[in-house]
Amino acid sequence: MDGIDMKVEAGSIVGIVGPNGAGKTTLFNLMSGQLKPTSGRITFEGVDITGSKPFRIARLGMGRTFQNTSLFDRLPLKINMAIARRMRTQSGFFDSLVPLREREEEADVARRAGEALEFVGLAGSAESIAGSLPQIAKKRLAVGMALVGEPKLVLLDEPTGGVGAGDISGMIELICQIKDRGVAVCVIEHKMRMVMGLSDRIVVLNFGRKIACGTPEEVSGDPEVIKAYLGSGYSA
Amino acid sequence: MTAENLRKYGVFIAALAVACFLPYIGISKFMLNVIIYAGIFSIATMSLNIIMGYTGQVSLAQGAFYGIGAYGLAILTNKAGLNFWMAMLLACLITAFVGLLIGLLAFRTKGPYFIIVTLCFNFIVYVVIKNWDWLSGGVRGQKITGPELFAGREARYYLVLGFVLLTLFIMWRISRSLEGLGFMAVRDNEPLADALGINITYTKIVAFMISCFLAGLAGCLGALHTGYLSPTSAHYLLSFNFIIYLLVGGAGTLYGPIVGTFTVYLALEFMKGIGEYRFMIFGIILILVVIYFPRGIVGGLKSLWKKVAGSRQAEEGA
Repeated sequence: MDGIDMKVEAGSIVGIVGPNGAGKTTLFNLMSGQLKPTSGRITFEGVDITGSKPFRIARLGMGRTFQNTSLFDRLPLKINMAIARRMRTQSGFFDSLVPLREREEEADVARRAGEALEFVGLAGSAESIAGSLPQIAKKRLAVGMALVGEPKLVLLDEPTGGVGAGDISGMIELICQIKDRGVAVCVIEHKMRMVMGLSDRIVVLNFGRKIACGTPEEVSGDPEVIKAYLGSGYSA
Repeated sequence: MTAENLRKYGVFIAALAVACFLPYIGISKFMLNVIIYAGIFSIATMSLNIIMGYTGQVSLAQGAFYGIGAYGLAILTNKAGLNFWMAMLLACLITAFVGLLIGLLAFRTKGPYFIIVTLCFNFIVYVVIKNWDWLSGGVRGQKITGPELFAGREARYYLVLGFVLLTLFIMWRISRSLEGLGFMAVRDNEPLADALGINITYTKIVAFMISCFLAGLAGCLGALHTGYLSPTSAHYLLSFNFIIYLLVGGAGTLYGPIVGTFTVYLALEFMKGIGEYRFMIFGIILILVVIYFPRGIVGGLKSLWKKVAGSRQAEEGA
């Protein structure tokens, strides 16, 4: 990355676009802590998270999905969700032996996991093993898992990757519903019409640098962007 | 009482009933001895199950912690003159504490490197015990005398049975708890668990400390039952034994450690008649288990049951 300077505002959807290898996933990895920046600072909700470990950043309220749809493949959906909620619980080893606080928290986790599964439309498959799901269900599960911890911001890395054309509008609707709940969204996507229609603002990356930033209309008219990525055939 | 419940609890209750009366159903003194050792080792295997079966970290150091528990007990009763129960509790706590120190170092590494670090630690502990004559009695070893209550073999059997049940209870509670969720998350997909706000290193260390406490407990019971200690109580070969018991029984299952330990240990004892060849036969069986039953005996039985239940449902649903 080279000189990235960007802000994501609460309650908005920011689309990250750019050719392959532009550094979009790298940007996410820097934001959520999988990578440490060699220079510069990252702040989240007023807290300096530069160089922080992923779990700390997650606890501060940043959720994320991965391009390769990372899940707990061998476990049922409701357990996947429960694990995603674990960071918001206090019960430890001794609580498991004398389960006073444990019982309460377990009930709360189960309830929230159920709600999250409903939100992403997977309540009926709560007992199914995650690895056995079709691609769209896996993507929706991953989104649900990023949300169940009540984040302020979610980073969605290609949420429609490998998803059939008929399921894309469902995902778009889901992302809008996330925004309606007041959660900020940062989404990486290759499907241009989708991300242009969805986002409040677009950030265009190329070769690790930000080459444009603005509303979808502004960005699609930017000659730099057209040259680098959209191609002369695109018209908004 | 559904079929599911009958399977889950029926087998356990039946086994428990047998276990309660075992010393009095006419088995030989030798047999009882073997069973007591199998029980003690199954506690150690259960400890390995917590760090390896549930948390996914392969530790080749459980032998060392077994030995630290054993020697801790011996030193605290013989040299420090502590009451037996106090000494046992303290020995286990010390073992857990050593586990903390080792964990802080070892969990800076991952995968095969972690395994090597734990093996090295085991080796170091063995060498230290063998050479630190003042503390451990070196190769000559030490005697342990427990309370009068446990002078008899039957009494020791019930003591071990009690602790096996206690350890089983602890494992059961962990597997159903939020803490256990964290362990399994680390085992199945560490980067995802990290991204979901789980403190990976902390989780691993907690699992490791619990595991070390229980391995130390097994060591204490082993020392009590043998009445005598030598550096082989902390040998790294013990660590490999526990791994084998766990793999054969089924890592990550509740009863796997006990099933595996009893199966392998008893089988090897019975095959003593054919001398060293028993290890060859056993080696072949081990290879077959790892290839065809990677989830061990208990895991394999579970899969079988699922298939049977599944086809039965399909028939009923049709």
